[in-house]
Amino acid sequence: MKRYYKVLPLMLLTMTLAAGCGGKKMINEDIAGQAPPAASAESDKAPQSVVVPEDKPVTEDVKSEDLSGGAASKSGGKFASLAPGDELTRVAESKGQLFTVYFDFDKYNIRDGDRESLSKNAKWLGLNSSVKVRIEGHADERGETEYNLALGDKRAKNVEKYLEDMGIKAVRLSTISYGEEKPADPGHDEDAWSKNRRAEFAITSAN
Amino acid sequence: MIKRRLILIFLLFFLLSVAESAVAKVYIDLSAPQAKRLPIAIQDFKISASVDAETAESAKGLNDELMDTLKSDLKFSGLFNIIDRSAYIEDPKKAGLTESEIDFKQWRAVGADALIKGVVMVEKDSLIVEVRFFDCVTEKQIIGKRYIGSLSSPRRVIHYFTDQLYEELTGRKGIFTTRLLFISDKDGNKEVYMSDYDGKNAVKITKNRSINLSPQWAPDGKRIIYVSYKKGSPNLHMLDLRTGKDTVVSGRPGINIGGRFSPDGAKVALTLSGDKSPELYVLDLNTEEYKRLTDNYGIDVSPSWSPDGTKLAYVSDVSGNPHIFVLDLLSGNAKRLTFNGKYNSSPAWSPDGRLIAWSRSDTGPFNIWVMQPDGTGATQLTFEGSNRSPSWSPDGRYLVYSSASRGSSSLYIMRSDGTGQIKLTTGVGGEKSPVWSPFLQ
Repeated sequence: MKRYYKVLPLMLLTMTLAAGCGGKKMINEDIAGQAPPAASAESDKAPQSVVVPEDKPVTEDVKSEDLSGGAASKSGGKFASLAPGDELTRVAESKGQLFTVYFDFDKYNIRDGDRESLSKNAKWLGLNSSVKVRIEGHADERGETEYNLALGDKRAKNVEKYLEDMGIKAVRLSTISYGEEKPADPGHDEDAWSKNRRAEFAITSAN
Repeated sequence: MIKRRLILIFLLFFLLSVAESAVAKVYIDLSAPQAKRLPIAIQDFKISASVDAETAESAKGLNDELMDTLKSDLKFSGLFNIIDRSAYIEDPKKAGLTESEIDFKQWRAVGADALIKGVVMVEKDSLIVEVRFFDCVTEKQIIGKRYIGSLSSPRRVIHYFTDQLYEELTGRKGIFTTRLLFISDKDGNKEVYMSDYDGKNAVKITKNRSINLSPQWAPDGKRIIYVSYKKGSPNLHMLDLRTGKDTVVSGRPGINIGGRFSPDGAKVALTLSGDKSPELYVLDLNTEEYKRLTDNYGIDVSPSWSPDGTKLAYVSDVSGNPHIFVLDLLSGNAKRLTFNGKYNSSPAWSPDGRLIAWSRSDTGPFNIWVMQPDGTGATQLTFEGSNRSPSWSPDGRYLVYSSASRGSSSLYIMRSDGTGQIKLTTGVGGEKSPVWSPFLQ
């Protein structure tokens, strides 16, 4: 609970900024061509995505507000960009995350549609070679608590292995499963569940 | 706090010894197909004349709670037919409390074969209750005991009495002093709670504000194990309920989940992932050595020991969907038990070893089922809502489980044949993952 008190002002700030920035939607659409559909859907939910991982310094969020308040094409953040103003770098700067990947019910194989996201994540990690990430595996609420913890573990590990296969050193990657305990969407329908069966990337160290 | 609650009840001494002739008599044969319900009268407890006016006043308030608990326990036992108080002829203020002082004719006249009477006394923080159970036909006292408990939980006193009464009448141990563990996120975080068997007296026993999951009892009922993120990642913790001491039982990389004590309490079956798939292991608590039990690409979770400690029922997705398997610990062979349903989980071996309860989903909601340990005789017990996490009472006569609709979950108890489903009111809300304690007496 305490953690949310810290985050709440930031959430409000982000919402205000998002509401006040009339061109945001346009900008998203402009760069959507480069990003996989799942990721652009994710970026539409600005307020919810600001909830930061527990061990992430709050200062990173403050920086992120600077960026999202400015032009999307702004360069010169703390991370190297794949291309000027690219979506992934923006997500990394603003949320401390990379592209999230999603899974089918009770499955932990990487979907074909998510391979591009993971390739981009790998490429970006190649460019930002000092960054370490934690892959957080999640499940929807429908299964059993313990099975879902195992499912989240499998999902995170499969994503980790995918990145390792693409050349990212294992020492830069770690995993954790949250099972069904941290839904991205609190709803109780397939729309919510599809957003909750996921593996998120949290940047744990930038240097 | 926990410690206080656990030790607050002491059974001090027999007020009067049980008549020898009554001991051998089994009033109610539970194995009989249609056991007759015993018509019983419960007279309001007297407030002891020896206490001053102020404490007498608070004792009066207690009477209602004691009566409520007693009636609720007796109803739950299924052994009694409680005769309505309005029918009673005897004036509770004038009537006596002992065999010789009671006019049993007055009680037989209202149809009572049995009668319960009591006295309530309050001394500082202590609650003293004397309860007597009479056979109205033989005009004998069968049970007479004095209980000393705490004013903060008068219900416990009655549960102790009902346990004794149940054992006296049926020859079997009662479950009225047993407790439940469950999870609730009502205060913003998932924490472990403990309540009486009927959901009352619920107290939060973890307060670490992280995520706490799947609590389990040690066979001695004095310690619990549970999964907690209090140190960041899902580790298996052990909490000593007497001392409040909390230790990490298993904190390996990856997940450390689903810990279940072996029947002898020496080992814990659990799931570890490490750098492999989530596999079943047995951790020896003395040597702290892990022994791997499964090795496959899939998920193996939620072990449940057979009462003799030779087998584990568990959930595996090696056949595609989650199904129930049984692993023979001696041979190492696993046998698949379920072939139907899209999602089978939470196996729970009954205390007598004859049944495995589990939850199964075919298209949407989960329901509680039971089957024999060879997979035959599968029988559906629940049909409404989404019902999960079955856990047996230590006498094997009941199951506690969680039932949810539209995302709101609560606890239910039913008989092991699925009848008599009742919702538990803990006052906490959002209850999940219930587990019934072993006998605590």
